[in-house]
Order: sequence, then C-alpha cells, then structure tokens
Amino acid sequence: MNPLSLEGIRVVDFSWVMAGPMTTKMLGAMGAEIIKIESSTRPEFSVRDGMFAVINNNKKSCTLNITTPEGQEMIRELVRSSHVVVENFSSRVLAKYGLSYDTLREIRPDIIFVSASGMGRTGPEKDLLAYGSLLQGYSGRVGMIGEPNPALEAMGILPAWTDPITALWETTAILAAIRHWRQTGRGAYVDLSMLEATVALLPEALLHAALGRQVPERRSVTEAGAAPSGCFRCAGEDEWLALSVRTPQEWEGLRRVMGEAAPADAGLAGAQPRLAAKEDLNGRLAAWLRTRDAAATEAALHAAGVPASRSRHMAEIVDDPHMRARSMFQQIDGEVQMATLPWLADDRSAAGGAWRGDFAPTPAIGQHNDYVFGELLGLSPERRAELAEAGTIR
Amino acid sequence: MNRFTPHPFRGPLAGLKVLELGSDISVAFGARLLADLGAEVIKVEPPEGDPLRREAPLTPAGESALFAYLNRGKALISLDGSIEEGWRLLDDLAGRSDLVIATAEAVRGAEPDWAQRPATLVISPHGLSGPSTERPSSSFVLQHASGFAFHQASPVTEPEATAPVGCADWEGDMAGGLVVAIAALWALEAGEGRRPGPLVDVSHEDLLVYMLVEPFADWQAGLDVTNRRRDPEKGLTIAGGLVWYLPCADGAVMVSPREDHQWARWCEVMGHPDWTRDESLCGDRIVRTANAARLQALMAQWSVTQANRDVVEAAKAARVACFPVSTPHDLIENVQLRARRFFDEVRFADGTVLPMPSLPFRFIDQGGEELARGGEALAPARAEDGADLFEALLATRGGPARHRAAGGL
Repeated sequence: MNPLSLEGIRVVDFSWVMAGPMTTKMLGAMGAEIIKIESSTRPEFSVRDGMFAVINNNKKSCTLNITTPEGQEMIRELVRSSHVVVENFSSRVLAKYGLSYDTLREIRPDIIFVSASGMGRTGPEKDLLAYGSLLQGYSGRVGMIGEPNPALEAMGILPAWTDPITALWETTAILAAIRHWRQTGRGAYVDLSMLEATVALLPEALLHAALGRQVPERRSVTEAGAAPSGCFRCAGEDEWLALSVRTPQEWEGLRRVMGEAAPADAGLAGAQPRLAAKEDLNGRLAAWLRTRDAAATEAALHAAGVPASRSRHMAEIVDDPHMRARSMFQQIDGEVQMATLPWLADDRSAAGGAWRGDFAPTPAIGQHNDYVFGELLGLSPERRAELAEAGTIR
Repeated sequence: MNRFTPHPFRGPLAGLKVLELGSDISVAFGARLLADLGAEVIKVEPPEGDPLRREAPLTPAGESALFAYLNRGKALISLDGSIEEGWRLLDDLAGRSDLVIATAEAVRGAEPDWAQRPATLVISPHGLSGPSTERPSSSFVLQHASGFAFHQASPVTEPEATAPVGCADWEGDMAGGLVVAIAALWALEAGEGRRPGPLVDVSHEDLLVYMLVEPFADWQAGLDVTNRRRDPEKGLTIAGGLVWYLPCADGAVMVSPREDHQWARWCEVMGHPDWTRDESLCGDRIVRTANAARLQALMAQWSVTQANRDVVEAAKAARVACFPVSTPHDLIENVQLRARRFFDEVRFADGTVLPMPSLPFRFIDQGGEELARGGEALAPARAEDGADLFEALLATRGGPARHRAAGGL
C-alpha cells in the first residue's frame, strides 16, 4: 500500500477561513504538496489564532502580494509546475488579478481549478456576499434545529457546519479530478456552491416538501420512528443522556434496566403502540432519568443492548480510551495537535498497524518563502530580496 | 452512436467498478456520489430488499423517495449473502470490482478474507477496532456520543433548560457518505490495484468528531469546553462576526452587517440612518458586539412588520449580507438553485416526479464538457429487476445452476 497516494501532486492554495484550508489539509495528509499563498498584511494569516492552527497542517507557507503585476506573474509561474488550484476569492478579485481559470489554463491547460463560493460562480445570486453562518440559515438547516431565539443559541449556527461540509465536497471533487487527470491527462474546472453543498444533505425535508407533506419528527431532537427516543436530563450538573428504542429487543432491554419504573403494558412491545404513546413514554423516561446517574445508566443500557449515550463534550472525547486506541487525535511535537483523517486503514508497515494520515505542524507565515520562490521558481537570493523590498514578497 | 460521434462525458470516474453491500445511508450515499461522478456501482440487496426501501417519505405508490435519492444511477441486484453459495457469488463480484463499500454487518463472517477483494471500506457506528466498538448505537445517539449535540447547544444562557441538539434531517449520515466517497477514492489509489486491497475502517462516530473544528480548537487552546453556560460579558459574536436573526412578518432573515460601512447602509435600509450617529449604541463593531442583544430588539421591532423577501431584496441592493431562513419549499423554488440546474427531476414507476439535489458543483472537463446536472433521471428499479444484469455478470462464471442456487434472485 502507498498511503501517500497524492505524492507528486502540487496544490496552489489561495483559500482562507475554513472550507478551503480543511480541504487542503486533508489533501496534504494524503501526500500532496500544498503551497499556501498568504499575505502578512491580512490579519487572518498574520494572527493565526483560534482554529487556524488545527486546520492548516501539512502546508508550505509563502507570502506574496497578488495585487502587484510581479506577484501575479510569480503565481502564474508557480501554476506552471502545479496540478491543482484551490480558491475562494470573490469573482471580482479573480478577474482583476488575472487568476481566473481561463487565465491560468493558458499557462497550464491540464490544471485542476477548484472554486468554492457561497452561491457558485453562475446564477443571479453569484456575486452576493455570503458567510457560512448565513448560508446555514439560507440552506434551511437553521429552521430545522432548536427553537428560534434572538441570541442564536442551539439553532445550528455553531459549530460551523457549512464550512466543514464544503471541505468534504471539495475534497471529493478534487480526488475525482486527480484520478481523471491521472487516467486521461485532462484537467478540470470545478465550480462548487456552499449553499448547494449544505442543501444536498437535507433530503428528508426536501422530499417531504416536494410531496406536499411535513416532516413528522425533527431528527435534531429525536430518532424518527423510535419510541421512546430523545435527550433526557440526568442527575448532576448539565448531565444528559440520549436514548432510542427501535426494536422489541431494545424495548425489553430498557424495561429490564428501568425495573419497577418500567411501563407494565405488554402491548408496548410492538413498534406501533410505542410510537402512538411516544410522548407519554418520553415523559416517563424523563421523570425516571432525572435522578439517575448518567454514566451508570448508560453502562446498564449498553449491557442491555439499548442504544444510548451521554451527551459528551470534546474534553471527554479527546480522553476517551476508544478514541485513543483508534489514533483519532495525533501528537505532533509532543502535544495533541489535531484530529487525524476520519478513517483508519490497516497498514502493517505503520506504527500500530494502522494509518490515519501524515501530518506536519502548521507552518509559520512565510516559513517556506525560500523553498517556493528560490527552489520552485528559481529566483536568486538577490532577486528575492528586491521583491521583498518592493513589497511583492511580504 | 457511430465512430464519428464523440462519447458524452460520463464523468471523471468513468470505468471505475464499485460493489456496495449492506443497508446504511452513508454507504448508499457515498456510493451514489461515485456513481454521479461516472463510476459503475452495483448495489447488492438481500432478497427482501434494503430496509431503506421502506423509509419515508413514500410516493403515492409506496416507493421510498429517500431510497431513490440514495440509490439512483446504480445497478441493483438481489442476493442472499447469508448462504454459502450467495457468499461465494459476492466473493466473485468483489473480485471483479475496483472497490467494495460495505457495512460491518454485511461482511460479518467474511473470514477467511476474500483473497481477490479490492480496496474495501467497512462502515460501522464506532469502528472495527478499539475498546468500545460494541456500544449499541443509532444515528440519533451518535450525535450525542460524538459531541456534536453538546457543542451545537453551546454556549447557551440556560444550560439546564436547553438540551443538547443534533444535526438536522439525515445530515450526520449524509456527511458520512461524503467521508465514504473520499476514503474510497484514497483507498483506490493507495491500494495500487493489489489484491487483497487495503481495508479501511470508517466510523460514524469518528467522522462526526472530525467535523467539530471549533470545539477542538478551543480545547487545544486550553479553554473550558465542558461548560455550556454563556458568558454574558462576551456579547454575541458568532462565527467570526456579528450575525443577527430577525423575525419577519412571514418567517425570518439572518443578517451580518459587519463593517462600519455595511452597518451604515443597513441602518438606511431599516429607515434609521440616525442610529449611526449614536456612538454609544453602535459606534463600531466592538460597541455593536457589546450591544448585540439591545440592537437585536430594536431591529426586530422593524423587521416584524416586513416581509422577509422585502428585507432581503433591500439588503441586497445595499450590498449587506442578508438571507432568508429558507423553508424546504423555498429551496425547491429558489431562483439561484434553479438557475444552476441544481435539482434533477426523478421519475418513479407510478409517474411521480420529484426534484432531487444533484452534486453541489459543476464539473467541467478541460475540453469544455460538463457533467450533466438538472436533467431527468429514473428512480431505481425494484431489486428483482436486476435479474438480467445478474445473468450477464455471471455469464462467464457458472451458468443457470449456480444462479438458482444463489437463492434470493
């Protein structure tokens, strides 16, 4: 097996914020060389706080002022020896700085050019200013989670959804395009819409609406078709337990754990009677769980074959022996740095017999200027110094 | 088609052969994405059909629209993998494929390993290895096990009264489909065609954890990620800038006038240009963040008298980021989605035609050929309609005796 299957693929990465960086981090974990084009005058790049450090691993950082003709010429030169371009500029910036697909394909006809934008690069709303948080509303998901409230709490706005989802779509498109290129030698243009990326994952709502029906139960708060099912308050501070009963066996398991508190009605073994009584069953379960210890009840339910989980937080997940055994989080330079790829492959040649991606620390801004401008573009130290003096390399 | 007619562009994955086993939304959706991109996907169902064929909503003739969304564009065959001969036929089909995508349940008992199997993905709730793989689980419960529900209800003013809340619709499972597609394309290249190919373990729990970028970054930065209570000192900064939710006479909008110049234009839209002169109310972004709740109340007094479409149009004209909170019906009618031919029209045997999302990107080959979007497509056939295809697949193998022995056909 060659896990670094993208070795030899060079990606010019103009992206910022979240979706693009998550995409190129993933490509880097599979062996692609990511050249991240940054600018020390943009706070996003120069401050590097918050999530920046956990979504920008595996990249080589260079700083370039793309508003200057020299900077644009250097980009074109870089594209000549690259395979993929990833960007999320506005349409105006792309055209203004000569970075559009039509311009870059003249330099490299087989380039794979991937553009991610809020609405896509065509259509009447293509130039609208959009942010991921607003797209989560426009896509309809905000109306399907929680209750509307002015403080925007528990409404599906945080944590970001549209951005990580866009990254997964973007990575899918790029991997397919790279396979196409390897097989046919042909490049491609991908025009990805973040709105569409979010809407495509809401089939239940769309299909019910198309048939003129309402979705009967919101999956954000319950398992549709299961009864009882929900997230219930337990004893202790902010302790919650999610639980779903889908089958007669799970129902019997729940009854065993509840003991004397279990509903005695034998008719409830069937799915239909339980669904008809869902509200009542959820109420009885809520009353029973309110004074129960969440962890002990969870263990008892698992032993009885009932799907259940405490509502866990990230600190607990990072410490979870199961996550650790699966190398979900990887140490770089002696500290837990980031989540690895969301899959695990058997690899007898790797430590622990499993492979979850190769990761390097997030680079300092401009850390690879000499590599990119010297080694890749062949500019002499004197020329690089001139360009830095002129503000082109910055 | 004669030799002077170019073949239509079938997609970047043309020629790839994929075998899909088991009943799972992520497995089905991931394999469908590969089919959309040009792969030939054979989905194997048990004799009684995939249980997802009964999942709502159903067309008037009782066909599952969700099943159609997950499986259009695939070849469907019915085979009983629980008996020995059926299992041997699956082995045979796997040997002819470039990729196998399966649920853990569908390949349980697959020991000894199929010698000729290609790169193989196995999808399960908690993975194939680790001390807690056997936890009983479900799509809803996984939202809580993975932390997504907890962090989607954080921060909140009253944690004790606000339950953790999961993703909308089938989002978690559909995101799993994306990871399946990505892992499949990686495994295909990483395996370099060797048999048996790499075995890839995809856990629903892992992939939901992977999506939690901000909570992980907060944990990494040493912040307390265990406490959901909102710090009232921190204002209401959402995802990098101020976002307001404003109820309207008929629905709601979300608006984000972040910069001072955007805020000034937004005040004009609301008919309150005078507000911009009140430094203590909304002087700059920091002041607006501190006063977010008070400003929301003031803006809502205006917005509840307005139709959400009017608010959005006025904001658009003023170049302020503002969108309605769409209903599913709004999305089906949405002008932008329609203009980009985002919805395919999928026709069922009973004549029902439903709009279904296509891939959320236009994919254009360097020669200018574009992967089709927005066309008509047929809903998947019933599993038993795959008999002819199965005959063809087995023509080189064993003939009718084996066919009958396969049961379930």
